Amino acid sequence: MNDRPDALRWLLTATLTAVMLSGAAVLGSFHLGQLTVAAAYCIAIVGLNVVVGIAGQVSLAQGAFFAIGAYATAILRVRYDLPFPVVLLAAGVVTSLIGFVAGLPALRLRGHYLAIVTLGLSVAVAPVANRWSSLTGGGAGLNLGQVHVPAGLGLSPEQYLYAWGVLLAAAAVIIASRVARSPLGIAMSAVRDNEIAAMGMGVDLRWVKTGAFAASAFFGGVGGGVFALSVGFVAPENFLPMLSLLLLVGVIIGGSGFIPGSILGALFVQFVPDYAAALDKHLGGVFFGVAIIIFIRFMPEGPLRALSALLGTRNRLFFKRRST
Amino acid sequence: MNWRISKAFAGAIASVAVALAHGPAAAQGSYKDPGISDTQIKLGGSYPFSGPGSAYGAVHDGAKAYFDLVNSRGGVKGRKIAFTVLDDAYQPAKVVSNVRQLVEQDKVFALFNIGGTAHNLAVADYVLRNGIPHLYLNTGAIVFAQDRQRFPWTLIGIPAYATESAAFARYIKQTRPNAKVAVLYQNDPFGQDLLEPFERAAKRENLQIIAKEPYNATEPSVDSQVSKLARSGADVFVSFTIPKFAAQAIRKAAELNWKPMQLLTSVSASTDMVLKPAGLAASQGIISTAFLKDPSDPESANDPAVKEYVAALKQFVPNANPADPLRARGYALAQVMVKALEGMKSPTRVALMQAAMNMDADVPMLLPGIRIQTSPNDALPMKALYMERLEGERWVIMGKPLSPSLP
Amino acid sequence: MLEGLLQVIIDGCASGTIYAALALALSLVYKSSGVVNFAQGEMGMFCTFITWWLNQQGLGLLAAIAGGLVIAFLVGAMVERLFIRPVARFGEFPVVLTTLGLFLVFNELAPWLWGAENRAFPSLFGNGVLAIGAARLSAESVGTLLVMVAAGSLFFIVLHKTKLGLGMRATAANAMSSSLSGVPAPRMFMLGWGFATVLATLAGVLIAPRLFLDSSLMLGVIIYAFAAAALGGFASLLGAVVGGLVIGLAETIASNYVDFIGSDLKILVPLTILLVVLIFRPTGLFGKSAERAV
Repeated sequence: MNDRPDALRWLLTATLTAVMLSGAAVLGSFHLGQLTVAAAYCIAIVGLNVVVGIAGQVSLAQGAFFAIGAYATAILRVRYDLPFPVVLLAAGVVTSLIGFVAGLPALRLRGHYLAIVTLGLSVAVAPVANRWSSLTGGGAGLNLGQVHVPAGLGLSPEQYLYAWGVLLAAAAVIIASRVARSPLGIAMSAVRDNEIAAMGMGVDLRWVKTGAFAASAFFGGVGGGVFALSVGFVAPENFLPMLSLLLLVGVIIGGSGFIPGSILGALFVQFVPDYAAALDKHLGGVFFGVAIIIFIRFMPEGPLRALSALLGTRNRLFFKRRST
Repeated sequence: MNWRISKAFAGAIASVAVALAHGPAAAQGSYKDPGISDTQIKLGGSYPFSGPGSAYGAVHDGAKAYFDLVNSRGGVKGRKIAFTVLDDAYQPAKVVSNVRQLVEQDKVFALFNIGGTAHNLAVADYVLRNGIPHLYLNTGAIVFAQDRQRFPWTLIGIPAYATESAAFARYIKQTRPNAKVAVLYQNDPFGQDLLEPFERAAKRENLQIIAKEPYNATEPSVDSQVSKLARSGADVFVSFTIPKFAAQAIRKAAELNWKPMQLLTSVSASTDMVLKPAGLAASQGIISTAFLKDPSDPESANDPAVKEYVAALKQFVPNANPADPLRARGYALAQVMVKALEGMKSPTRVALMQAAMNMDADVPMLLPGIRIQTSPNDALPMKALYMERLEGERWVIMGKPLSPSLP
Repeated sequence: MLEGLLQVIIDGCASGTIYAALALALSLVYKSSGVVNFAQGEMGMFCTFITWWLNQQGLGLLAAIAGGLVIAFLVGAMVERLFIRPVARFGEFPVVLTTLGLFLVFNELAPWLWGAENRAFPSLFGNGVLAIGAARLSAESVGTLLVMVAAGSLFFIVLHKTKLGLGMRATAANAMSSSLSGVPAPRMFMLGWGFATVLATLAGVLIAPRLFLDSSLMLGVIIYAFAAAALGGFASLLGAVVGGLVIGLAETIASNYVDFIGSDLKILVPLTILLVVLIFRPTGLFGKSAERAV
C-alpha cells in the first residue's frame, strides 16, 4: 500500500520542519506573525482535507470550527491563563464534539445540500458570538494579551508562537497523513469513492462520516486556537462565512486528498491576497480571484500532480497511479 | 471619571525607554525614533479598501489630499509627510498584521486614522508595548478616551459616539419631553457605543425608550426591524445605522406611513448617499449632529476652508467626489494631525504625544466654535457638536454648539 | 395584534420574494448545467450596476433594464465559455473554486468601476403603497413577486415544453450521451448560464430600489437564496420560489414573535428549517431523489 518509502517521508518532513523552525532566527516579528497565521490555516486545511479530500464529504463548516477553537482558546486564556498545550487541546476537543454533531447531517445529505447546511454553521458563528457577549465579549471581542515565553528559552513571543505553529502544523500533517493511510483512512476513501460499495465491504458509514467531521473539527479548532494566540484578539468579524470558502480554496489548491499539499494551500490563502493587494490596494480581491481561477485552470489537482505530469514521470515519489 | 493620566504617562514614557533600550541601534543620527528624519515624517494607516466596508476607504482620500497639499507647500517644518496605507478589508486581524507591518517593516513614526472600534482595540496592546502614537482614530468609542491606563498613546479623532447620544437625548427632551422613543442600532461596537450612552442619557433625562431593534450589517435589509419599531407606537425614531441601512429605514418608515421625529447618526447624514436615495420628501425634518463643514451644502461653497478642500481633492485625488462627508472627515483629521506635528517640540514620539495631548487649536474644516482641545486630563479632542436639521435639500445648523456632559 | 400580524406576513413575503428572486437564478443555472454558481449574486449585482449606469447615461428605465439584461446574458454566456468550460472536466471542486474566484472578481470590480457609495435605483413600479387596514404593502413588493413568478414560469415553460429546454436539461443530466444524440452541449451550457445571469440581474433590478445599490447588494441575500434553493430542491424552479417565501415568512414571524430570536439571530431560523426539512426530504421539498448507481 505504501507509495513512498517511509524513511524518505520522515526525512522530508524532518528537513522541512527544521528549515521552517530555523526561520525564527532570521525573520522579523512581522513575518513570523504572518507565518504563524499561515500555520494556523494549515492545521485547519489539513482537517478540511481529511473530511473533504479523503472522506469525500462536502464541508463548508471549517471556518466555524476555526472560530469555535479560536474563541475557546481566547476564553480559556483570558479567564484561566492556562498553558498553551492545555488550551489548544481543550479547544480541539470542544470543537471536535461540535464537529461530531455537525457531521450528523452528513448521514442523510449529500453534495450541494450538505454544502449549504454546513455553510449554515459558518453563517451562524458571527450572530451567535455577538449575542452571547457575556462569553465572547460580543462585538468588541476578546483580547488575549501578551504571551509569556517560558524563561530560559530566550525567544521573543513571536518566535515562540511561530515555533508552536510550525510544530503543530507539522504534527497535523503527519497525523493526518498516517490516518489517511490507516484502515480508517482507507475506509474513508472507500466512502468517498463509492458509498454503496463501501457499505458492501462492511464499512460503517455512520462512524466514518461523523468521525471524519469530528477529526476535521479537531484540527480546525486547534488551528483556530493558534490563530487566536498569534493575533492576540478574537472578534466576530474575523470569522465570516468567507473563511470556510477560503479554507476550501486551500484544500483544492494544495491538492484535494493530498495532505502535505495543505501547506501550500495555507501559504496560498495567507499570502496571495496580500500580494494581490500590494499590486493595487483597491483591486486585491480581483487579483486574488484571478489567481484562484488561473491556479485551478492549470493545476486543478494541485501543483504536485501538475509537476509530476510535467515531468512526465508516472512517478512513485508522490502519488499512486490514480484511475480516473 | 478618573483619567489617571500622570500614572499612565509615566508608564508610557517608561515603555518608550524600555523599547529604545532594546531596540535596534539608532542608525539615524540624532533621531531617537524611526520614521522621522530631516526631510520626512512617515505616518502609517490601515483602511478598508476592499470588502463590504470599502465605502469607508473614502476617508483616506481626504487625508491624502491634505497631506499632499501640505507637502506641496514645503511640508511640516521642512519635513514631507509620507503616508503609507494598507488594506484591511475591515477585519480586525488584518489591522493587527497591517500595524505590525507598518511599524516593523515600514518603520512609521506614528499611526494615523485607523477606523473601527474592535479593530483599534485589537492593536491597543501592541501600540502600548511599543510606544507608538496611535492618533485620530476613525471611531468614536469613548473607551479610548476614558481608559488612559490602557490607551495612553491613543486619541480618537471624531467626536465620541457618547457625545452624539447625549446630544440626541437632550434634544428629544427639549422638544418632546414625553416622547416614546424607538431605536434601530447596528449590532456591533459602532451601534452599541451609540446605544449604551443613549440609554444612560435617556434615563438621566427621564425619556422612555419603548423599543429597540438590532440588525447585523451582513443582513440585506432592515425593513422588518423598522416595521417592528413602527408597531411599537413610538413617536421618536433614533437611527444608529450606516448609510445603506439608514436609507432603507427612512424609506420603510415612509412606506409604513410612520412619521416619527427622526434622529440619525452623523456618519449617515449624507444627502447624496442616504437622504436623496431614501427620498427627500420622506427625509424632511430629520435631525442629526455635525462637526464638519458640509461640502455638499451650496451655502458653504464660498467658505475658504471648503474651497481649499475641494481644490485639494481635485488636484491630488482627481476622481473623488468631494460631497462625500467621509472625505471631508479625512481631510479635517489630517489637519489635526498636522497641527500636532507642528506642535512637536522635538522630533520624537513622546513629543508628538505631548503636542497632541496639549492642544487648543482651531481647525479650518471644523464648524466655527468647535475646537480641538486636549490636556493631560482630557483625551477627548472634540467635545462639542451642532444639531442640524434637514430642510429642503440642505442640512441647516440649529443654534450654538452643544457640549453635553457624558452620561 | 391582528393588524400587526398582517404587516408581519406582508413583510415576510416581501423578504421572501427577494430571496426567491435570486434562488430562481441559482436553480436555473443548476438545472441547466449541473453547477452551483457561488458567483451568481455578484454577477447579477454587477449587471445591475451596468443597468444603473445605462440609466444614468440617459436611457429610460425600461430601455436600461432591457440593455442590462442583454448584457447579462452575454456576461453569463462568456463566463461559462471562458472560465467554467475549461475546468468542468476536472470535476466539481475545480468548478466551485472557479465560481469562488469569479465571486471575488465581480464583487470588487463593481466598486472599482462605479464607486463604493450607496446609491438609489429607480423602481419599475413607482413608490406607491397599498393600504390594507393598518398594514401597508408596497407596489414594488407586489410587482417584484409578479415579475419573478412570470419570469420563473417563462423559464419553466422553456425548459420543459420546448425542444431547446429539453436539450438544456438533457445536457445537464448527461452531457456525453445527449451530445451523442445531437444536442450541442457547449451551446446548451452557455445558454443556461446566460439565462441564469439574466434572472439574477432581473432579481437585482427588482430589489435594488428597496435595498439600494452598492456592491454588497447581493452579499446578504446569497445565503438566503442558497437556503431557499436547497429547501425547494435545487433542480426545481417552483421550489426556489416556494423556498424563498417560506424562508422569508419564517424568519420574519420568528423575529417578531419569538423574543429569544429577536432581530439579530433571525438568520438562524431559515437555516434550522432547512436542516429539519432536509432530514426528512434530503433533496428538498420538490427535489427528485437522486438514484444511486452502484
